[in-house]
Amino acid sequence: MALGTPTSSFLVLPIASNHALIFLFVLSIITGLVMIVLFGYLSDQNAVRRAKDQLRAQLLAVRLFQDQPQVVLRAYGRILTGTGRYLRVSFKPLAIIIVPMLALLIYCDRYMGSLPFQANQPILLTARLDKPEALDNISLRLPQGLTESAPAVHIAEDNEVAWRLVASGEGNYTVNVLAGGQELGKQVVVSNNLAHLSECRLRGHLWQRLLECAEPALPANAPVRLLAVAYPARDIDLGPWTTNWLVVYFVVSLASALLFKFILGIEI
Amino acid sequence: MSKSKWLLVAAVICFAAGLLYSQLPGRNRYRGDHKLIILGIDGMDPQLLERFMAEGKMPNFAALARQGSFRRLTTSTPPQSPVAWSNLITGLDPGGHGIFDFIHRDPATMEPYLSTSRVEPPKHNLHLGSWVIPLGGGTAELLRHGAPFWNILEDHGIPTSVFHMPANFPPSASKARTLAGMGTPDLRGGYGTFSFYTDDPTVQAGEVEGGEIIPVMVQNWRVSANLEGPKNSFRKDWPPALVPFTVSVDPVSPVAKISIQDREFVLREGEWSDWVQVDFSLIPGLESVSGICRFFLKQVHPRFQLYISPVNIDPANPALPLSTPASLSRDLWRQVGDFYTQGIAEDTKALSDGVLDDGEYLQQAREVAAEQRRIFDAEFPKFHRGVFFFYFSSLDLNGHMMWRLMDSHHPAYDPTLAAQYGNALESFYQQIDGVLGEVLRTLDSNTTLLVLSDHGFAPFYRSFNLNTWLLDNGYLALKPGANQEEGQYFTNVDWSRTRAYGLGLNGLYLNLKGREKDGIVQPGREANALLDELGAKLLSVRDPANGVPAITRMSRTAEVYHGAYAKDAPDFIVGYNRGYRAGWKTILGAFPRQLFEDNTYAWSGDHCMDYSLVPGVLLSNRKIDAQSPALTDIAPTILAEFGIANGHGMMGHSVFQPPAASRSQTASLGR
Repeated sequence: MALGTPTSSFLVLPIASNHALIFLFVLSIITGLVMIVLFGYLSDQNAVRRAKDQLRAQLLAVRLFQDQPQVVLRAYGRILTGTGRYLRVSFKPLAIIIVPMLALLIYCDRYMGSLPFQANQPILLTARLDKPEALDNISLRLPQGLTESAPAVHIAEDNEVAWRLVASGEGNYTVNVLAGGQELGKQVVVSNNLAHLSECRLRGHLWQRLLECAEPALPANAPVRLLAVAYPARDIDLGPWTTNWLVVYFVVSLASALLFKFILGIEI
Repeated sequence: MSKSKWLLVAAVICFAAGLLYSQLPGRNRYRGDHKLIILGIDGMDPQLLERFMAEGKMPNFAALARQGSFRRLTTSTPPQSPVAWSNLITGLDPGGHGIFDFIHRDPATMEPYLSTSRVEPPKHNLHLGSWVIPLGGGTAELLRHGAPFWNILEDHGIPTSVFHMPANFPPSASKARTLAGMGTPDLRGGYGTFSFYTDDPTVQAGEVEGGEIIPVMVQNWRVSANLEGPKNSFRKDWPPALVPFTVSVDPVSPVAKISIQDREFVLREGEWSDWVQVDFSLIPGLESVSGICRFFLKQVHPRFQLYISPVNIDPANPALPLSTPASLSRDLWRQVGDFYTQGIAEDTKALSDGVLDDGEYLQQAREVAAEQRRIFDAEFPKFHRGVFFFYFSSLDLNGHMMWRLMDSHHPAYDPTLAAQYGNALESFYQQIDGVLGEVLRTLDSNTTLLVLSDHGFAPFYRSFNLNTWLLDNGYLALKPGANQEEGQYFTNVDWSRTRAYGLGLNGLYLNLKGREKDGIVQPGREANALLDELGAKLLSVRDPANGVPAITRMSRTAEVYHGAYAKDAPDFIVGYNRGYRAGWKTILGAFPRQLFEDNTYAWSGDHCMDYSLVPGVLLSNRKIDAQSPALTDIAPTILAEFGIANGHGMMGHSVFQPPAASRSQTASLGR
């Protein structure tokens, strides 16, 4: 199962709704819990405790022996080495945790990073080609429910064609771009709910595809190197402020992790 | 934890809960079920209303007039919107609230300024190379004085919501829910500055009255340009903050893709974009100002023409205060999306400057009206108690611009355009009738409804250049050798030989010693004699084209105004005859050669005339006892509905009480 494909959306289905903030809070709290449990399981808790105890002892020395510069300097040196020791014992669990965390962030960003299109909202579809000559030989085959609301814009300087589409109702549409005898599909989601969104289809560019796209790569021999739609950015509304979902996610998951640390008695 | 600590925690929690409860909305609030709904319709004219009612085009107004009351509402002196709405808001005349015109002047410098608000930069700054670090905040100051009716209501616990109220920017401090209206600037600080980009060499680039025309080049089917935002006060000399954008033009089809910051959209020729949010960076990464604007792709081929609306203050993230509480504009944005926050949203200047044609202007004006309706539809159903006021601008601005297309006597009448758009104003009246219909459906026996306008309307056929008349008649002198037709803001005036000058739409000032910077007229007997002379002479001026008097009323402000600010007022308010108005150039202190001119501009209807010629309307579902109600009666009426006595200095009476014996508007020279 490919990371971030719609088939894996069962992960969020139980709580997926148009209440993005609720989803985000639940996700962040669960992440905090899972992170702290994993850290406890993967780390040498005794070693972590020892490293922190030693750091505390040296900090105490700095406070108690302020009138003895030699002791204070020595304590500072030990704080530095103690910090290194602490980082060393924490590195392995953190390095292991960061991999699923990153995958989770990329996956969730496809739900939380953008908003699906609304019915009757303009949808900008962009195709970037290899050669400017191909610009005149590219067209669209639209599914029922999607229509072109303006002529295509041909931009020779960027080897690009841009279409403006509009959907008459909600749906998970596939737009087919016909170029060089090939038919290349691009997903377009029109919905009022939290939905799995893929902004682009790319040819090559593995890392960019992993980070930004959630659709299969374009064929290597395709005359098109990019198909993209720009979903509107989603802002998380916190009353007087709006912010990116990642900010809320990090703050809440960190707070949740600290809370569960105390409840579960895990040393971090 | 010890018992005493538990007790302390419990006490703190109880105190906090009590404090929170006392601040809850609805706490200490009016418990009655009486409601007052006020629809404030700028510029609704009684004659047009009667005509449309008689023709069956405004059934809801006809029903309200038939079942309730319909009166002409005496407007302000002068009948200008900021003045008139200030009369309504405070129950005071201009002497009490201090708004006499759209434009005032500082007598110490003779510099003109916008009358209702002032935005000041920080007073102290630290200069570091090309950067300027402010040592304090700037201020936005409302120049209207007097207590607004909604503050008095809130002091008595009456919940009040006031939307788009003119002459209330920045909104006066209040517990009421208020949204600023006319007088709110755009992000560049004026009443609205559009940007127009074109590669047409025949169009003269530079500043025009309502905006800026910016020359661009289409290279490789692409236009690159900058959108100008607010002045960057963090930089030396305050250069404007700029946001670059590109327009990629299709070589064949009349369509283009516009890219600005992280937004991309396609427009066809003749299409308007949705609102586009733009961030103007002041200190990169640290400080920016958010604005919203709309794009209109006027033409793609053969010439590129792109209009961008004035950049409005972003209601979701306002750079200047737009509402009370401050969160209200954002709440509205959540409900209806972006909306015009600029006080005068209809871009009349773009039509006057020829940047938009009539059809394009009307598209924009209809969108403004639709937006106002969306806000009304979002807020009105939530109203259950107290006072609800909502302002509509479309009849005023479109009365100004569309009059020439429904009046074949107008010098700017065009039969072809009239055939296309001659009923545009009528359709805006009908939209307002639709709003009233919605309100009427909700009325119950506990609800009073007031539908009112600040003034009526009249044709604006001919301009009268007051400063030219003063110059021709020896009351005003130019510096030796100065060209009469050059300069504005009195730059060529020889103040040492000037006894009177005109500024604003209706203001006539004496150059008074001790008040004006270089005053020469002695206050007292000399000033009074001069006023007598000017009043009599101006009332006798006849239009040589038809022998009609150009001026029908000269109101001495010392006699018609009451209150602490009367001393700042013009000495005379010039009341022009129906069909006449001050010329555009004379308003700002210039001296066109002609005394009278045909008005061939798109701005073809007006109301800045003799107040008695352009009354507003007042309708209610209750019987109005006052036979000649005035704007200054509205605040007392609102208060009386809830048993509250007049606020300090209020001069009117409830219109639901027997008529007042006298009115203040009588002390003027009239024909």
